[in-house]
Amino acid sequence: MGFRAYASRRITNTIIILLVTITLQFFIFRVMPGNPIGHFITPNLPLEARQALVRMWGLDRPLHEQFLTYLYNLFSGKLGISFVSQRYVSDEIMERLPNTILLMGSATILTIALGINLGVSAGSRRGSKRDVASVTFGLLTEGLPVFFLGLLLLLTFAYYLPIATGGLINFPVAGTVSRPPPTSLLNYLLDVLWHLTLPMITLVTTGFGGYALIVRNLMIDVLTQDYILTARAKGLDSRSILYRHGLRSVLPPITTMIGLSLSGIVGGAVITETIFSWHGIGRYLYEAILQSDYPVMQGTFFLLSLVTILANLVVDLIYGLMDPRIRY
Amino acid sequence: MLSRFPLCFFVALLLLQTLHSPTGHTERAVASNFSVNGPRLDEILFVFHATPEAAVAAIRKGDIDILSDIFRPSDVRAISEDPNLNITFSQQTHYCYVAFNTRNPPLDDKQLREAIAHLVPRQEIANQLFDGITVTPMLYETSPAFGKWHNPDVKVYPFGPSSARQVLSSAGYSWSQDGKILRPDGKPVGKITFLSPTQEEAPTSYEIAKLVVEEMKRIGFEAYQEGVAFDSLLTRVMTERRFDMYFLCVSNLGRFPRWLYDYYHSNLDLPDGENTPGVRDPELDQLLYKFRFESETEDEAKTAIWKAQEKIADLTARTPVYSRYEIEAFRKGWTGMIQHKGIGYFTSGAFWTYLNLHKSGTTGGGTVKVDVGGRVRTLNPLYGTGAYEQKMISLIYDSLLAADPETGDPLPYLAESWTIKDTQIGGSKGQKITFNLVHNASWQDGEPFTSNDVKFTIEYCRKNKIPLFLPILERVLEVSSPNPYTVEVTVNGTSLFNLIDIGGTIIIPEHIWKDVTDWRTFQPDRELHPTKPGLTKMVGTGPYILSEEKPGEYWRLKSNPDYFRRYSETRQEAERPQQQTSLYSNLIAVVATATVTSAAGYMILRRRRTKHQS
Repeated sequence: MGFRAYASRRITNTIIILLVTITLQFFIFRVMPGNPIGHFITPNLPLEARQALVRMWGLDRPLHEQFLTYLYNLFSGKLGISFVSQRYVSDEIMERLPNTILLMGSATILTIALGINLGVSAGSRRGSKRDVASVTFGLLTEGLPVFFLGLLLLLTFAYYLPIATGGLINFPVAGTVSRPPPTSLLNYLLDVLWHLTLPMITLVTTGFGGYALIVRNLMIDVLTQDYILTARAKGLDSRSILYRHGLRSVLPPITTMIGLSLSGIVGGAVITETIFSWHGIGRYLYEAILQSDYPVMQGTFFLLSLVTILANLVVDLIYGLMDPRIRY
Repeated sequence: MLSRFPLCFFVALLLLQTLHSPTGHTERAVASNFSVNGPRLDEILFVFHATPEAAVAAIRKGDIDILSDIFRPSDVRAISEDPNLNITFSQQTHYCYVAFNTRNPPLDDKQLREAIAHLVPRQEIANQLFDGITVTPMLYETSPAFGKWHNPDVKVYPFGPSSARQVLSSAGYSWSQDGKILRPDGKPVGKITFLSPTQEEAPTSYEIAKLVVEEMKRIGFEAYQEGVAFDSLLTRVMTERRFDMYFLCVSNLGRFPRWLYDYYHSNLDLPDGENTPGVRDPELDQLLYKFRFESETEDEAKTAIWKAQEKIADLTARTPVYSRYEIEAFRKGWTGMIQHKGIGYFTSGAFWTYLNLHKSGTTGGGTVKVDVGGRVRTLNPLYGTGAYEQKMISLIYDSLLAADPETGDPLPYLAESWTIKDTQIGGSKGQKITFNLVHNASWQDGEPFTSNDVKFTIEYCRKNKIPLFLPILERVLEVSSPNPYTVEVTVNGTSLFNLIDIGGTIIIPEHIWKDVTDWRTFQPDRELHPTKPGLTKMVGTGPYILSEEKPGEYWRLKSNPDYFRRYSETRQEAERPQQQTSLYSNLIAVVATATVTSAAGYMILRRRRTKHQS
């Protein structure tokens, strides 16, 4: 099977998976316990008002009609109207997506870079102090609860240290920018970076350990291969052996990991976004689940599914290009 | 002849009284401890914090000035110890309760429910779970926070296992040899399941249910706790009615105990109706209906609701557990905050505070930074139901009437006065409410505010069946605006709440909303004003203008320079004539009294002299 046939088969599979996912997403939320109107049960909103809301949201219509409306909303690009805000879900997502991409994108890049470097470094010196330290540190940070580290950093660097140092060390308590933000562009960008620091450190600290441990194990395995011995025998320097011969061989599984983490870049991080009051997709989705806001849940999960499925497709295609032996 | 002297004196006093008496509600409000004019601030910056940790850190660090909804005892302690902060506790219209399913045995027996009501360790709950700080044990469903609507003389069920045993014994229940409770017919009472949220989801609610179940077991009930996801709990309780007992809290009950109708009228014992215990009592139905729809005077309403409270306490379909305080903190140096009964100082509904708030030692100006701890997803005034959404909306838009912060009684606002006339509509009774509007109010874009805006608002909400206003405006039969400053609203029924409901509806500008095709998706704060640069379509008549927002981060409200009740030094000058009027009144009264008295004295003396001469 040539690459073209392989690619077209993968694309067809992807479309089928996407359609199945879309269908499941509609029905799963409807069989889940909870009722969107349940969150409007308040004496300030009597029964007749709540019934009017149900009619307004279209939840009184037959399920097949609701499903068709859902499909129309998905393919029209608006992704429906949120029950809670009455705004188009696509607008609300677009409002939050840049923040999430900024936080998750920068954190993911740093996590991967740090994890791979540490993994390669530890794997190349198996049993050394560096290896032991990397494994211990990696395990420790990987197991550290995000909420604990996040709160610790928040209270230390945004509350206790600013008071103790008279504002010399002073990180923000909340948000993506100061409230109100600086007016000049440069100051604005610096302000965003200042706000990004603590949540990013939280995510990188709790994330890089996993990458480091996997890459270390892969590297240990690869470095015992014959072709590495050959490279050494040829007199290549250790850096070339590690990165050009060793790391290159473990790239496919690492590419898979990176590909799968792409959906996280879009999906956000619920706990970190909440602790640092970060206006992103993760918190948006979490609130939607709490409030049974079906259109938001469907729209956001659709986006996540789309990114995950497309990332998988891209990874598969890259696999095909990276390793000509791969033809499923 | 001397008898004429007191008469003259009485006339003079009457004249004095007439000239000195308050001529309108505005003066009544001024006479209270707050000013109806404002705002005194330059701007309010609402700042979002997603967690209590961040909010408490922000106020202690100096990032914000005001924080509401503090509920963790540790935060209360930390803030109390902060020398830069003040902390306030207000009783609010909130309560948590244990509800019983009265439809099925064994809880269809009132005595059994009464006994269980005696087994709720309210003080222990307040002390153990809230450190005795953030809540107050509650024996009344309609708490004292409702002021005059609270009936203190209802039957209460304080904690006491011995009282529970006594209630059961006198109702014919007995105990088996192994200590289990037996029904009067000798059979076991059977299993009672207490539904609560899961420990992970709501640890406090879970613990409360656990404590009650332990007490029930201790005196011989076969009681079990079932922790379920909150959504499932709501479905089982609200829709399916599949429960024996459950624990839930409810807040923001409003200024009047109208929710009792929803909670106990048999009409609401239907899927998704709030009468979850299944109370069906014709006498109670009558009282609740009378209170909500038929009471023409406050006395009538009060009599009905007090009797209803007695009946409800006697039925014991729910038993109250505790009520949470509204705990708020503010930075020292601010003054002018007003306590709103049942609400607090700064939280949603505390409208007067944001009109009066200012820095101590100044007459006004400055920016106050206020925490936003909940969702602000829409500022559409016809849809936003979140507490913080409502808070901002109520500062931008006005309604015809405002509420007295102490009594909840209506005060003039966009309507400077009103009259109510009973009328016949077909065969039934109705009311014609005439609102006389202020002449000097304008929209924030400069357009004049007129009766057409009021008419448009009511008709627009009715035409579009806007859920928030549906129960209020479905009673409206006709609305007309005979002149730019008069609105006549004809309503069904003669309830005193007709005035409060219609007067409390926020008014939207016709010139902005008439072109809105879909009110649901219209986001006035995100669309630029067609003619006024720097403004959005979020245009009200209120004291503050939305000047800037970054959703999910902050909202900036600057004071409205053309506010019709604008507070300023100049305004104070302008107000003085009112006070001078009253000084003049006094002067005139004194002069009048002196004149009348002198005239009378002169006449008497003259007559006496004449008589003497004759």
